[in-house]
Amino acid sequence: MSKEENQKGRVEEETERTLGVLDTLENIDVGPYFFERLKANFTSPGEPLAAGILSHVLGGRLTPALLAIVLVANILTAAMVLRTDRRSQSALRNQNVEALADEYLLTGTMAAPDNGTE
Amino acid sequence: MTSENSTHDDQLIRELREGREDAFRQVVAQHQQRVINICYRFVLDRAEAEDLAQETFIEIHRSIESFRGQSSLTTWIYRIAVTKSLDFIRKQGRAKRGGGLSAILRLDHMKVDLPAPASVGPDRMLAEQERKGVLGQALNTLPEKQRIAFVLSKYDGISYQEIAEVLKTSLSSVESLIHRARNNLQKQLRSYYEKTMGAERPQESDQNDVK
Repeated sequence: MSKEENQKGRVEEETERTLGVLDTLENIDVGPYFFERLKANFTSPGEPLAAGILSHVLGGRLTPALLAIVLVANILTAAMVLRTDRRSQSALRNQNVEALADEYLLTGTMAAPDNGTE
Repeated sequence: MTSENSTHDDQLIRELREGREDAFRQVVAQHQQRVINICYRFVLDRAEAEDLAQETFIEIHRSIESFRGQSSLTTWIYRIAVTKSLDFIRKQGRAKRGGGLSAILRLDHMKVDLPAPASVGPDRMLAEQERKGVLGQALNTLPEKQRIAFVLSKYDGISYQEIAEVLKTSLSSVESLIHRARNNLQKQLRSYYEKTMGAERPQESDQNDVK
């Protein structure tokens, strides 16, 4: 038998064996706790549902959307922090000015100077 | 479907809609064996098949209100099992293509593999697993109806008539779908093995040259 015929024979053999995988597949017996597991899945639906959503979000089409949301949230948070920081800095500066003014008696409620008329 | 079966189904559906656990338990007991084996023939993995069977029954419980009785309860259940299995295969394909984050977070490794049967050696198991993978890839190339008809025809627990009902088609169409699926699979597999064996040959000739 030539090499080519030999290879063709092997290709046919492998093809038929692979096609036959489903014919030789054993039947699965259902485990004794199948219904109990099912009931548990009903009573705590949060777990599988959350896992399903998580895997969908992380492994599926939503990944770019999720990344975009995270990016936008980061930008918004940074903007808010900066604005709050700026506000608190200016408030602090005002407080310092007022404190200094109080200390050196520069405020409008300053008492009139004593001219010794009494 | 006989009228006796139909009456029994009607009563069961009514009780399911009333939320009676004994009715649901009865449906699960009646169909679990076939549902899990249908899923197994699609996904070729025992643990995944069991999970999909669970999801199938949860879906049955959830959507019993929307069951309009246009097919038998059994056909409806098989249809859900097939849909769940195909959805799973599609999601798995998507996850392989775009599973960067899953891989980073190691979600793929959180699954617990069932132990191998003691009678099968690791080499043989690996070869069987590889063969299942090759068949799975070839099945992925088939049109959906051909795939469903072919896979279901390989399970003794379901008749051609039932396959026709699942696919909402005639018996002769089912036979034609199975025939075309087999031809397409043969083509795909021949091409695959010709390529892999063709790739092996230069290595063999290199080894001969060394000798």
